Order: sequence, then structure tokens, then C-alpha cells
Amino acid sequence: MGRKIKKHMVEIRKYFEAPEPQEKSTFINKVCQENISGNRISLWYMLWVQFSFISKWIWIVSALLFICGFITSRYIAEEIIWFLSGAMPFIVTFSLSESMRSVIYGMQEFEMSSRFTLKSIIMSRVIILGAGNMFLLFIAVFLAGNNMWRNIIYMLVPYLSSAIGGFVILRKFPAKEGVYLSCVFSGIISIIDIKLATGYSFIYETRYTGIWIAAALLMFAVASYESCKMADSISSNIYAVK
Amino acid sequence: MLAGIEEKYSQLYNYCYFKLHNAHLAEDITQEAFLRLFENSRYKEIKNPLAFLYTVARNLCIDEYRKKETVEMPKEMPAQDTVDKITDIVAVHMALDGLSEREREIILLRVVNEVPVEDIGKIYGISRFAVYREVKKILKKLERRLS
Repeated sequence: MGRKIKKHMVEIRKYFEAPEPQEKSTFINKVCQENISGNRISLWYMLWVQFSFISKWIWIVSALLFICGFITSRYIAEEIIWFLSGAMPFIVTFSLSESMRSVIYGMQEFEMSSRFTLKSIIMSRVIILGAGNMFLLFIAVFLAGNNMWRNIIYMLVPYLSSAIGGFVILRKFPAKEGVYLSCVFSGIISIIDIKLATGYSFIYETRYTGIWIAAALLMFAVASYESCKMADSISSNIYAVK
Repeated sequence: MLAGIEEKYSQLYNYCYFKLHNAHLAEDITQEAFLRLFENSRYKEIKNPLAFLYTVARNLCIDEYRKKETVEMPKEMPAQDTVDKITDIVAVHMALDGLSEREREIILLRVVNEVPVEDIGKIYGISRFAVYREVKKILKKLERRLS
């Protein structure tokens, strides 16, 4: 804003000034007394409601995979933490298919007519499942013992890369085909991960930890961006002719 | 949602008054816009209440134009101001009167009511960048007129 406008701000405001509203306080008092503004549902309550709709099987399968990873890394051989790492992409696929349930079963319109936007619902499920997976991952790696933080980073990278791929695929193919394709993509990530862990194990040496951390942070940023983009795209293209 | 309702009420009322130049109608439309916001937010999530309020108010004002029953009240100049101030006021009035209705509306929204650019974009159905460009252009024009 220029100096001249700033100097004349009082006059500009005066130009647009209206006479004092007569019923302002009456209206606001009425709104407050009768609670007309409505009881808004808090974000936490909404997340809790969405949590209750998430299939229990998702949690059971995710927990089983984490338990397997924990047992292998703790009691069989610590080096094969990559077993769990290789399973991470599949956990992403389960979570994504659950997040996209309304889209897969063609229930978007129904969701659109409900209180919350389709984007909010998809995002809340992505957040709940992502947070749940992270929680399970932390527990599994914590119980596994040594090199906890490094192991978390090693597992986050395939998890996040699979999530990014899944989000992009589901944005392009928002239907059952998208889930199948993201499953294939997760399989590819898993194979690459296991190949790297067995054939090029030097990349897991301490000197490369910085690169792993940078990759995990970058992927986290991209995954967050892609998840929003996917939810946006699905909610705005619901009526688009395919 | 009630946070800052008093301030929002006054700003929206100012906006409606600017559009209609009729205090009673402006207040009726302001209250109607708020009631519609409350009613709508009962069963669906309104992501941008401010943009919603202005859009409803704008549409209701357009409906009023169509009725063409509104009696326009002339704007009064404050009498107690000093000569210098009056000169300034006259200059500003002339500069603003020289702008189009839409340009004045944008000045009111962005400069006086400080409505975020994103919300203005939603009200007019244009992008944020388009709003930025338009505001910048109008401010330059106003500045030229003031000098």
C-alpha cells in the first residue's frame, strides 16, 4: 500500500462508514443466549468418529506385521530388520485402501452430502492410519532394541515412498484399480528395499545416516503434499465425466 | 464460530450499507447472512465462514437491487471537521467516487475490512493472484487520483 493511501486511511474508512447498526447488540445477545451458532464438532471428536469407522482388520494386520518384524529382529537376527522394512509398503497399501473406502465402493456422493467434506474425511483417515502405523512402528522398533532411531528412519523411507506412490496412483485412478496398482507399486518398493538391504547393505552404514534422514524428511513433505492433492482432486472431480 | 462476531457483524454491515445505502436493509441482510451461516454449519462443514458471509450478503444485496425499491440515502459529510480535514475528505471522496463500483467494493473489502485475499477470491470466484493483481491496480489508480 502506498504512502498516500496510508496517509488517507482515516478518510477512506470514513468514506465507507455506515450509520451505527441499531440491532447489533440485540442480535448478538440472542445468538449467544439461544446458541444459534450451533454446536460445532471439534476436530478431535471428528477424528474419533472416523477412528471408530476404520475396520479392525487393518489394525490387526498392521499389528501382526509389526509383531513379526519385532520377533525377527529381536530373536532371530537383528540385521534382518529389513524384513519389517520390506513389509512397510504393504502396510501403506492396507491403510490407503481403508482411507479410500468411500471412493472404492462409489460412496463419494453419500460422503459429500454428509456434514463433513469428502476431503476432510479422507484426510482424517489418512492421518489416523498414518499415526496408528507410526505408533506401531515406534513400539516395534523400541522393543527391538539397538539403533532405534536409525531403524525407524530405515523403515520410514520405504513407508513414505510407498505412500507417495499410492497417493499419486489413487489421484490418477480413484477406484478399485487404483488400490490394485498401489499394491503393485508397494510390491516393487518392497522388492527394491529387500534387494538393497541384501545386496547393497553398505547403504545402511552409519556414514549414510544423514542421507537417510534427509530422504525421510523430504519424503514426509512430499507425502503430506500429495495426500492433500489427492484428497482435493477426489473431492473436486467427483462429478467429472470419466 | 462466535469469535470476533461483533467485529465481523460491523464489517459485514458496512459492506451491505455500501452496496445498498440503506441502514435498515443493510442490517437485515447482515443478520440474514449470519443466520444462514449458523443454519448451514449445523449440518455441514463450512470451511471459510468469512467468504460464506460475504457471498451470501453480496447475493442478497443483488436480490435487493433487482427489486429496485431501495431508496438511496445521500452520504453526509461530517460537520465537525476542520477545514484541512474537510479538504482531505473531499479529495478522498473525489478519488473514490472516480473508481468503479467494483473497484470501490474491493477497496472496502481488502483495505477497510481487511478481508484476506483468498476469501475475496472465493467471493468473486477468481484466483488469489487475480485478486492480488486487481487490488494492486486499484490502489495505484487511487494513489494517482489522490495526488
